[in-house]
Amino acid sequence: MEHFILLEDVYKIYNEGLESEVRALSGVNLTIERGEFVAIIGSSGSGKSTLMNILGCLDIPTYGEYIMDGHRVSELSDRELSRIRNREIGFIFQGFNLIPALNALENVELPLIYQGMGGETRRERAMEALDRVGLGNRAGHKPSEMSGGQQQRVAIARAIATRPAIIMADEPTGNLDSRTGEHVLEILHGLHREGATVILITHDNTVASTAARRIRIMDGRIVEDTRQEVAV
Amino acid sequence: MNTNQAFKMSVKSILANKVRSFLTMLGIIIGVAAVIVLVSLVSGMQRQMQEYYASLGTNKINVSVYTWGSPDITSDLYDYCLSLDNLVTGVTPNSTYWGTVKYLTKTVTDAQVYLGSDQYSVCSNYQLASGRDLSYMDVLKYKKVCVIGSKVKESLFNYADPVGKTIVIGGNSFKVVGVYASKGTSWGDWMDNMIVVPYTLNRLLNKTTQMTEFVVKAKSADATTEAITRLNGFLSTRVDSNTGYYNVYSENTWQEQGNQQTMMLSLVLGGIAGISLLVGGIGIMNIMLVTVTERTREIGIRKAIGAERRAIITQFLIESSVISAMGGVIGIVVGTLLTLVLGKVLMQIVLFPSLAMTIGAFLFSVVIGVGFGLYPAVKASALQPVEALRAE
Repeated sequence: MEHFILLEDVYKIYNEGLESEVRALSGVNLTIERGEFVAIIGSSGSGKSTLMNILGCLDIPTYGEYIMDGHRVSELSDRELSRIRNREIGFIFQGFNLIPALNALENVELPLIYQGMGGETRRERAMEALDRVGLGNRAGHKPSEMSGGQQQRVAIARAIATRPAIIMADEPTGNLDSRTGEHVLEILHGLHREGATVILITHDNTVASTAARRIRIMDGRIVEDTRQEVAV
Repeated sequence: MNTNQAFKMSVKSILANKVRSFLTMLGIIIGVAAVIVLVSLVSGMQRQMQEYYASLGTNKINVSVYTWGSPDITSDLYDYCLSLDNLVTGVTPNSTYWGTVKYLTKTVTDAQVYLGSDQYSVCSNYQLASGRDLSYMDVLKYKKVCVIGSKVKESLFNYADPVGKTIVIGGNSFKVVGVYASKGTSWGDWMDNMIVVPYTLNRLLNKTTQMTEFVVKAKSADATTEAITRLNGFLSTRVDSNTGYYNVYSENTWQEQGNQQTMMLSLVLGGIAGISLLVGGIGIMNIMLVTVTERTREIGIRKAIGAERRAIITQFLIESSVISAMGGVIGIVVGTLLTLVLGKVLMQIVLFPSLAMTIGAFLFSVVIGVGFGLYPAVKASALQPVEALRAE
């Protein structure tokens, strides 16, 4: 059977051959199916962010193969990669990564603009996503005028506006207090219940405990891959 | 992503950095304004010069003859020129008399009185406005008549008709038979402040019959060259180099030199202004490179959410061209205003930059924006998303 995401013996090595060589990933094998909720857990420097960058087509492996939905990522052009990042994947970053000069609505509209979606529809879709995260009334605010939790919700709205198959969240609660963090997690679970594949990267075991599948990574290798029943 | 969207996005980020965007534009503004002002002023100068030459009349040959003791050659020269009728359209003495001119109680002291032949107006390019011109018989029969320029008419007669009235030149009465039309140039009205009387009356005014200055009007530029050769030949047989000298020269030569000089001037000034435009373009490139570095993270975000390389290139290219084009438009406005003011102050004429140059300046500034924005834009688009996101 074809897997949705398949990593085969993936290495990511920086400064290869030099004294400063760093093996961020060394021999990762991993499959993820559609509709899974996966938490990737690891301490700082374990390689978990590198893993997400590769999964999200933001970076390419030094060695090994990444096959997503049947496509060999290493063989894709800039245009095809951009298209996958745009339509298939929704990113949520720890640092929110909103564009400061644009207001909430414009930030959410951005991926839709790159899709070539026209004015009215685009605005509706973006508003819908903002409503979804409870920020419909903050559409005109710039990131600097919003709290961290609100900014992260805008980032989530941006990630879901294109209705991607996978949501990738890198420490989405890292910069938030526990209550706002819980709210963000609830939104992610809600998206999962609606059928999205969610990949959550965290160093926090409490956050990870809400995931049905937990993958622990240490020194660039997967050291644990467990599944558990979680209360839906 | 369509161009319209990219355009809106560019304007937004230009407005987000108003002061910097303006300073970046300044190079283009100054460059475009300088090109427009300098080229317009020089072409205004050229136009004015041509107008001046045209009012003097083209294909004019000046002849000066100074002799001591030799007989006066005026009538010989006159006859010789008439024999060159395939080359020459007119000949006249061009000597002058300075003195007071009076009509009743009114006096003019600064008018120039020319001693001319019946062909004076042909040679010096005057048109008759009313009355009649000097005739051959006036010259032959020492008739005390004159034709006056429009400035003299205005000074002495105001709006009254001077034809038939008698004015007093240097104590002698002359009947006004005609009035010349104003030359109406931007060079002032001194060319209209004149009177012409038959040259044979020089014995009354300058107390001599000797004529020293002549003007010969040739039919064309080629005829001018030919006529100069012939005149030199003629004069060499008449003027003894021991007791006098003569000089024959054409104003065509001046005009050509003048035109070459202004052409030169326009090239040099245009070149200098062009260099300032180039410097302005480099300024844009510099700022766009800074912008790319500053916005590395933004570029990373855009790539992470699906911007293709092309979209990033388009965005930065449009941004640099919009800065440059806005600079161009402001430069055109500033340049046009400066041209108007300087034309008025320096040359007393209303000067406008030509439409072709205005359009050219605008297009050129857009080209500069695209040209100098290309490298930064390509550099921005080549950033790897993951590295770009890591930037602070």
